[in-house]
Amino acid sequence: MSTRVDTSLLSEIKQYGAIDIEACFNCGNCTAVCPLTGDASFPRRMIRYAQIGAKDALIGSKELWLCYYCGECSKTCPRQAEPGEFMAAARRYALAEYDFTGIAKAMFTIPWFNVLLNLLLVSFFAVFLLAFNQGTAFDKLALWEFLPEVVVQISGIVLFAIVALAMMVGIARMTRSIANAAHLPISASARGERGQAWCKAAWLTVWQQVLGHKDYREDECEEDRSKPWFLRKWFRHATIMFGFIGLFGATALDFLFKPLGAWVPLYYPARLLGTLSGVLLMYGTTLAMMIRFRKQDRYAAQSHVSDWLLLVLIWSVGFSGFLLEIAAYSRPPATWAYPLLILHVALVMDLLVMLPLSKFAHIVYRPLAIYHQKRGNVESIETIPMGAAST
Amino acid sequence: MPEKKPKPETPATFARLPKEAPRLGVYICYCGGNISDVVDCERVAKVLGEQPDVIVARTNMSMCSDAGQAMIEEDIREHKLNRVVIGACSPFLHEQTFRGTVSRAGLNPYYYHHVGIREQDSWVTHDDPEGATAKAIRLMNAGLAKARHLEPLEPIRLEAKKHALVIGGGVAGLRAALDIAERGLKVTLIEKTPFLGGHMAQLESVFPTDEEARPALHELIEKVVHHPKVTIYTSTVIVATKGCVGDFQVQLRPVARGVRGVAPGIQAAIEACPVEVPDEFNYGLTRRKAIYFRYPGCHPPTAAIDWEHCTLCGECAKVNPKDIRLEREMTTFQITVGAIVIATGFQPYEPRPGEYGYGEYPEVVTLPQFIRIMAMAEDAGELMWNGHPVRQVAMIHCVGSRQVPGVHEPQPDGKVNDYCSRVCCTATLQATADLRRRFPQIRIFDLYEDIRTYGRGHEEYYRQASLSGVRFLRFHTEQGPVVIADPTGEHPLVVKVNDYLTWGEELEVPADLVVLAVGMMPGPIEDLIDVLKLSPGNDRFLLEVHPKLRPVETAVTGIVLAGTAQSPMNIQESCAAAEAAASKVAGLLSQGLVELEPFVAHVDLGRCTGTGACVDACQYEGAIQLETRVIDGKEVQRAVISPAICVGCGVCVSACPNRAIDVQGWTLAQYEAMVAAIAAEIPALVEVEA
Repeated sequence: MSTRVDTSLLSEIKQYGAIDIEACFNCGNCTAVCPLTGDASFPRRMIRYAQIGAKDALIGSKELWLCYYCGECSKTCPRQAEPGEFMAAARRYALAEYDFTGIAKAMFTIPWFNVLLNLLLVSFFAVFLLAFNQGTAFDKLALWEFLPEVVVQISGIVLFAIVALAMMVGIARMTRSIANAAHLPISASARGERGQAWCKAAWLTVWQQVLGHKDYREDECEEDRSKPWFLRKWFRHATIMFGFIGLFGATALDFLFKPLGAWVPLYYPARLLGTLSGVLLMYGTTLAMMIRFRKQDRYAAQSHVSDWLLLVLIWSVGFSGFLLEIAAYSRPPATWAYPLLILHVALVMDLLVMLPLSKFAHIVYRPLAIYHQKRGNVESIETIPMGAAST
Repeated sequence: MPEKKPKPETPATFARLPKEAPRLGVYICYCGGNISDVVDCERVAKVLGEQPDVIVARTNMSMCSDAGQAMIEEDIREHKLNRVVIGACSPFLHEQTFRGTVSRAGLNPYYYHHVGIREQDSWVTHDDPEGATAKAIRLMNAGLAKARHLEPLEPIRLEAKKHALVIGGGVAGLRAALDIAERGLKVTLIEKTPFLGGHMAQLESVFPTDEEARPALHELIEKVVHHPKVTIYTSTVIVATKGCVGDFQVQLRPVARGVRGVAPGIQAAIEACPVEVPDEFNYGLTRRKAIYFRYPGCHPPTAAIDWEHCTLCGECAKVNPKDIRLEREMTTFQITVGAIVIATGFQPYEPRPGEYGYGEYPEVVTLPQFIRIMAMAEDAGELMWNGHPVRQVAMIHCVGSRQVPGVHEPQPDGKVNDYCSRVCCTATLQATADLRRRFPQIRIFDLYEDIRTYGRGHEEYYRQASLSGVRFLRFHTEQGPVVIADPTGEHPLVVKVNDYLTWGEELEVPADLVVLAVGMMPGPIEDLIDVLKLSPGNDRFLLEVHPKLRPVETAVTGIVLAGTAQSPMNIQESCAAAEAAASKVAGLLSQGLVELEPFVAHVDLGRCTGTGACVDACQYEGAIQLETRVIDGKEVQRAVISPAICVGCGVCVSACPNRAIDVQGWTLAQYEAMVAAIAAEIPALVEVEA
């Protein structure tokens, strides 16, 4: 079965931020220098899929998600085709393809829509929450009397359920794409030895890669080598991720053990966990934004609107959360915290909605791709000979 | 074969030993380390300095430098040296230099012998310094042995006609003609067809500047046509030649043009012609009459009759009886020229019927045809071909080039075109750029084996093609693309290819037009090769004497090559070759005297018995002949050499049963002495080898 060449795919991916990829002449230097491409499958192979219009093969490539964008490929490219940027764009493209609503595609390809949608969502949630306000007390700060906690909890749970459902659809579509892509004799898993048992693969994914950041640490870029560990890219990511996990844990603990609306001291375990996690989150996001702003590191030289969106959103959530905490413990009562609460909760809700629709979705797709790769046991495969005819 | 007579006790050539005792100067060059890094030059000098007759033995970092040459000159004067032996680079490089050195010091320049101890020793024996040193000593010792037998020689001087013939009226021929004429020599330019300009006239723009082809060409044609030293004959071919460099007698056969002057009203006569044939200017895409102009504005601006297709019906002459005469034949005439420039050019490879669908599908065309299609297309709207709008174009590289025996079908002569035609890669990419610029909506696919955009500015076409969205696919020679009708019917054709860049995956490229980037083949010049005794290479292009050091001269002195008759070249390279050819011609003829190396056969009349074996053996007509002489009152036959024709190959030397012939400068006696010296035991050398 032969593949009909279609030139439109590359132009489409360009809309997702693959700036100069048409300059690529398939030399493979990007793949030769890539610290992570165990079986020489990316970036060159991904680029070729895009060049010939092999859409199914591209969106069915878990390899897209094995790249952490260190930027070594872009530095080495003799034609300045920015293969690293292509990989990021291809991930956005794949993500938009997994999203059945088409909203992700619109957000990735139309910058103003991206900003507008988020502003509208935050405004909508703010108005929605304000509708439930119970009146403002100015002699004391009674946040949960102003906004009943139960409203936040219930709407949050409903929203979470919807988002989780959408995410499940995305997971199903991604898994199907990976399975479908096997018709090209170039999918690594098709050639693999017997897959590892699923539980071992899941364990390796979660423990080694997600929590341990193993490949992320090995994908250390040149710029990072001269930096102390706490400024490195993988560490920055780890602080944001563990910050998130911590805050998620603190919220869950509050939900389970804290009486509704009760005041707790700073050393209350859930509050302490939340505060420390918030510090990590703020550290990571602030640093990431600074590096994207300075544009000195190759991987941060080109920032897509979706990169900024996620950072700005997380940072705003963290920052408004901290202000609320300050307000909660300050004397006299900081009454400016009432609108801040509305904003904070609206931002959190917006972030939740963005989960299946934005770069945020990588928290699901990347581990899933790594899991599929572990099951295919890619590392034990010999390098596929380049140019070997398929006959 | 006549039985050889027993060898005489003493070789006859000994009689020609110089009278004076040899006084040898030996020089070993370091060549800036090229030699001395391997060969112990000082040791070589020391050993050779101890050999008989050697007066001085010296080394130098660079013998060809002014200081090195001055040292040799001074030694010759001071020590009264009468033989010089230099061990250095290849004689191709500096033999002439040192002949000049020796000559300036007052010695006959042929009292000097050059030993190549770089190419033949240090470069090839670099991992064995001891062995290389011993080898240098042996080679140099052989040189000494030869030097003892050197004789003074004089270059052969011939009177030269200050007149050159240029064959071919394409860009290379025109360029060469103008350059020779500007050096003050007379030039006759002949062109086989009725019009000047060659293939360049069929191009629209030329890389790497995208300059318009015809205006540039016409500028050159104007200069040539109006140059007082240039005479041009169109529709003229060579039928015979005689003679040698400086004095070639060339028989030319013109064919009548049939039309006189600008001939007002000629258009009506052309319209009256009932004969229509494919127009070769548009590579058969359009048709023309049997009386025609090549293209509007062509040179000369006179129509011509295509005698091959003209039926002599007389319709045109009825319209214009004053200027049209349907008489083809003209008389042959002779010119005498000192040198000949071959600028016969190329022809595009014509794909076999069925090769990539060529001839089967009207949508498969060659690159030259595509250039004409683009030239004739209107910019507005869509590019139409064969009644369809063109939406996708596939370019296939290396058609008729870089062929592999067993994979590609051979040409009628049994050979495949295994060479790279060099021009097609950039020309194809330039064509895609033009297509992209004028019809940006067309999707372009480029199927290649390798992209060889080697020249200055050429790579830019490749880069721009990439950037403009041309999609590249790569195939292996063994698995070339296949062109078939599109089974889906969306497009007329589909090109199937096992794409090397997609790991051999079979890809399909639907196409409305398939363009074959055909290579170059030499023009049909078999007759000319016969007449001028030229030597074509294995690729059928004409061969130069030495691809690096004598790149435009042929084995026949006085006949030089210009442009694509020699090998595939682009216009820039063709003009460079033409200019080189022109300066070679000017160098030969501008003195009115041709000097040739004296290394030709020489007959010892005392030994010649007139067997004629040498004449039978000789490959060069007129180089050696038997003449009747009267010796002691008897009429006898004796061999006589024509030094201008003899190339010094030495076949006659081996054929002569009497040892009566020698090649000057390379006599049998010299060889014997060299062989003896190579095999001789030199005490110091034995020490080196141990």
